[in-house]
Amino acid sequence: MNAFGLAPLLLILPIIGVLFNGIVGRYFLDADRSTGEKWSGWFGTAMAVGTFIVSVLIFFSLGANDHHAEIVHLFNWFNIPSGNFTIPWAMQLDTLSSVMTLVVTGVGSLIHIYAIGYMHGDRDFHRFFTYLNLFLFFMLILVTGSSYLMLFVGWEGVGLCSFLLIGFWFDKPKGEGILNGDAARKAFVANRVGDFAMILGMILTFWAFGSMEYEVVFESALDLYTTTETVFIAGIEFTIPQVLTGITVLFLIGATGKSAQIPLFMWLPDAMAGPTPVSALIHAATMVTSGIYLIVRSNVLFEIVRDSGHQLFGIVSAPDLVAIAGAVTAVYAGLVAFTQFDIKKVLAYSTVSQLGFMIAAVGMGAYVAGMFHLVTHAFFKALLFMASGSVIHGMEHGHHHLHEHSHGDDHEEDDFDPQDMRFMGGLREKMPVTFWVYIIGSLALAGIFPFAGFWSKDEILAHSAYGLGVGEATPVFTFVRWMLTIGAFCTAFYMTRQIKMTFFGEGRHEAVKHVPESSPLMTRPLAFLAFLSLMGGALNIPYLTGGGGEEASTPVGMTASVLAAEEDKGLNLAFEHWLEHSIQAFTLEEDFENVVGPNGEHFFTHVPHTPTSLQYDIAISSTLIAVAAILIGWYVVFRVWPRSKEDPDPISQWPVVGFVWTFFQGLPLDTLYMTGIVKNIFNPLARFSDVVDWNFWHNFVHNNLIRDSFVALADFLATVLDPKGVDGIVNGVGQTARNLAEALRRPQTGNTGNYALSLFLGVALLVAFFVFAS
Amino acid sequence: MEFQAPAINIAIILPVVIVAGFGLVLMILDMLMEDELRGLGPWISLGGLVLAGLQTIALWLGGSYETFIPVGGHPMVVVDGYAHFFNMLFIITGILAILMSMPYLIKADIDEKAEYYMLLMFSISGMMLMGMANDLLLIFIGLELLSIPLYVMCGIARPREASEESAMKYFLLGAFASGFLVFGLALLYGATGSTALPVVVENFTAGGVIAYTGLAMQLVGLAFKVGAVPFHMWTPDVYEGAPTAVTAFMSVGAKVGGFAAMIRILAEAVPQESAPIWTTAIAIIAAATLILGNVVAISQTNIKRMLAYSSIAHGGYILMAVAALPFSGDAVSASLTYMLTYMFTNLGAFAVIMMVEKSGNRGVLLEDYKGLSKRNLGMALILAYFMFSLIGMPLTGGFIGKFVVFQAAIDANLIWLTIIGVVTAAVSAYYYLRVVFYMFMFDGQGDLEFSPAMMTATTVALVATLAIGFFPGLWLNLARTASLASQLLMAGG
Repeated sequence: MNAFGLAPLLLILPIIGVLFNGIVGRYFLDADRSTGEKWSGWFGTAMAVGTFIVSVLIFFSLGANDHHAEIVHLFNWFNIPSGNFTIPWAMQLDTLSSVMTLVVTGVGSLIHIYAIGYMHGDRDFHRFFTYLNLFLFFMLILVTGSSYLMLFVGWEGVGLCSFLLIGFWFDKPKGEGILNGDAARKAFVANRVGDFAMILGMILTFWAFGSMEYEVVFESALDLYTTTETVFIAGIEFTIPQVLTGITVLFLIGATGKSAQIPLFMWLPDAMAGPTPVSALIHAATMVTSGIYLIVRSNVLFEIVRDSGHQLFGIVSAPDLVAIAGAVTAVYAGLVAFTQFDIKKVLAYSTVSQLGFMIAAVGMGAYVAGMFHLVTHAFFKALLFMASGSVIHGMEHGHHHLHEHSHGDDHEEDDFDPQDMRFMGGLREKMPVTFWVYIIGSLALAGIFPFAGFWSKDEILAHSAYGLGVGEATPVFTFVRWMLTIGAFCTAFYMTRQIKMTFFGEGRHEAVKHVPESSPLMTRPLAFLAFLSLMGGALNIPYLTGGGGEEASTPVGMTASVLAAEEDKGLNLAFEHWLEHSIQAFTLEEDFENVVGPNGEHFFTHVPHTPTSLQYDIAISSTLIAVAAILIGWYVVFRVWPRSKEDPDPISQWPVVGFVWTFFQGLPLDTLYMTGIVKNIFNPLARFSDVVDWNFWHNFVHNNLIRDSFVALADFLATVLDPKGVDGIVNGVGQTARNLAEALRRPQTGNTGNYALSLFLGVALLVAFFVFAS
Repeated sequence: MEFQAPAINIAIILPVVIVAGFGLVLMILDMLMEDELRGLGPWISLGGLVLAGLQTIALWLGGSYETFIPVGGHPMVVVDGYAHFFNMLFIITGILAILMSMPYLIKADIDEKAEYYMLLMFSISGMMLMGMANDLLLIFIGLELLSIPLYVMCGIARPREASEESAMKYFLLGAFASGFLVFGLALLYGATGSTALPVVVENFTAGGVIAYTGLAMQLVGLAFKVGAVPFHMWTPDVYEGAPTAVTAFMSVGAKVGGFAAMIRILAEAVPQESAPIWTTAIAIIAAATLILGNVVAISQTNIKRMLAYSSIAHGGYILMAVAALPFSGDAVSASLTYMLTYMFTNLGAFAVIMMVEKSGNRGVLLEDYKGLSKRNLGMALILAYFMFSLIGMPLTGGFIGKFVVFQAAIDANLIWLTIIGVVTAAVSAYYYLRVVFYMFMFDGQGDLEFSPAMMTATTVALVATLAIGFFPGLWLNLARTASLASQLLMAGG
């Protein structure tokens, strides 16, 4: 008995929601505002909850099915019989996609509920829920598709929804921040760059392996690799590691676009201009993790490249490049995060930074750790975003209240920004629930024991320190380790700064005095997520036995036999065991134990596996670093918070640190893009193109060459050829036809006798012809 | 002597029996009923035609290919795909003609309503017989059954002189032509010893000159019906004088009926070795018909007269396909397709013309179309579309018809005839576009009167013409299937 047959509902339910809200939502709202909101909001939410229930059923079905993947074939999308080319529309239900659907639909459902409260009174309430359901639809295609093409359908679809939702308030007047429309466009353009790489990667995959189905691609990649065969692409011979290096690097670029990594991350902070539920759902918990999902899904391809030792440059292979990109992003975004004043921007950079942790993890082969952090991060980052939304909501209400009670005296209103933390302070008493969930989310994010973030972040750090599974910590791993450690420090630091700035001290704006706590519709999902942030680590608590560097330095047993032996120890790595059924890389060593290559080589002797014991040294040191960051932030740097917006941020006054702060507050990479690339390269290029376009194409080619010669030709035709030649012929023909018609018409006298005579003549001619011809 | 009832498979000739039977019913009703009940005439006829149509479709879908054989004789009737196709054409023509006649008879003050529909039904049954007949005698009977009611219908608008004159002319010349047909029949019988087409074809060569003379005279009778040059002289006068509804019915029904029998005779009753002789004759007639019809149409000022010449010209295009009959496997289906498109387009054009016409035979000059687009853009556009279809512009049914006919002619190596066809088609644009030009470029008093029945007919014709123009594959396939499910495919060698 299983529920795999229900899988199509994952796609059908959101589409029903889209149709309902998209078609009739407006009428409900127009008919009666409050009932309309109820229908619109709860119908959309019901669809989201429905998909969550289906996801849970599939989750249990997988358990009952011995964790074996199930492919639900819906229909054939293309079928080109002559090319023997079929793209089925199929859903791959395995433990990996199950995790993703649970996160997407679970967090998605909570955010739907929250949004009912948050979007209350918005003019386009129904449109918001239409887009949210559409997003769910595409996101579920992305994570359940059984081929790269299906994934790409979802990939583009969520990009579209992201664009629509960031720009949801496209008609909002320009305030201090970026315009919604501009932010949406920026996100879309940055994503297009990544999508282009994705398309190239998919084409290359198809070219090399003749399919885009995951299973087929992985099987044939392994097969060709272990027989050291080569493939021809555009007539040039390539070895499999070379091809896969190309594919994986292109996938990495795709992932940096969607998951906001260097070099394509700039769109995510600006995307915070959109409504907060969108930030929580799309830009923290789900869509931005699709890059991580892509890499985890393609784990076999990455491991082949790693195993082959094929280097991209120096000692850096394609998977290493993934890890480096993630690690550098983690630090960069972490540093930028503590220079921001916008409450959501801080969280946005924090998200970029945490996504960097995940990318770094999967780049190191720590697939489970990466997914683990993805799940816990979905909990606490969604929590933090929604809590920040609650704060913003409160500030707006306070400001409205203030405005209503101070007639005429609104010179202060001009620069008020409900998202600017410099106007906040002292919200602890005003919003107790929000405050406490915020604290829980922050501690989880900072990685304090025993919150969820502690376990997942510790696992990533342990991997980087000891190269668990891969066998040894290469210099790349060491680099990643120190970068991530700095990143972890930054995380704790900027969260401390944010909490202090928002909730402690005294209110720096009149509006704070009138801030109410948000409605239960908003705070209940918060409480639920807070619980998950607290307990989420239980998913994959490592062995509490063992530990220490010495055990880890000898590679922890990677083979199934060793794993079996270790399973008895301590607590279960539930998440690990769940995911290992979908991550083929873990079984490669076993699968290829007896396979010997043509030159006698063995394959996959060092493939990752992550049954890790708690590395006490890592756990303790990272906790100490986080605690230190919190303490330094609390008692030293932000001991005294400035009283007004004009006073400088205390951290900018510190030696060295202040310099770093000023440097990163200038958003160095954005500046580099804007001045270095856009201003110095792109704009001159544009100007040059303009000159060429106008002077050469327009003035010379179009005006002189084409238009003038055309005019000359037309003159010739009109004044010389036409009247004398063509008209003459045409008129002549017309006249001849009329003359002929007149002549032929003449026998038509109307006299029946004449007619009979002509008929008889016809008979005579015809009979004569037949007689003589025969 | 014991009488033995022949084993007749009535089911296969049920469509024609139904149509003729309803004609008889109407005749009786006309005599017995009060005036009010006579108003039911068109509805009863429509019912009969729909019933016959359903029966035809049922037979067609049943894939029946049967013959109707009298005791000890040869099959008199062949019910094959070809016959089904023609039966459907005649039934649809009849339905559209009835729809157009209902408002038109009122407008033209014609009183003999039940009589009119009775004649129409008999004429249709004659047409249907011509498509099914497998015997020269039956073809003759069908032809007369088709013609005699038409003579009366032409004159039904008495006491209008033009109507009476056209009926008289049509009758006299028709009788003259039928005389040749019967004479040809007698000669063929004398030469071959039978009137059954399968027997005629066997003994044709042995019949020598007599058989050829007989064939020539048979062709005269049929060429008269389809209005081929030089047997066309009656057409303009009769078309102009007859009530327009009759003109519309005649221009499609009589012509298509004539071709149905002509193709049957030429394909079945004449052996392959004499093909070069008769195809040359037909090709010459086709060329003359194309040139005369299209050229003389230019100088017409009366739209009914113009369409009379136009219908002569369209007969020429179908004759092109007939001339290609022995040499091209697509010729039969090409002619069927052409007749299908011609039927819808021409009936549609006549429907609009009837809406423009005023009582007392006024409103039929080209002048009357001036400024029609200003008063009724929709109808002007519809008439323009029918005109485009008659020219054979792409995306109209007419284009598809001309395309397949030209294709068949080229297939049969009749290059010179194809060139004449293309050139005359270009010439035809001159007079068809003049109607469009008058409607859109001038100011004037052009106006029209609507009625639901007429609008229905126009809509059906328009939709069908559009459908053929935009989705030709379906219809071509239909014609091809119909021609394949017959014994006519002597073609292709």
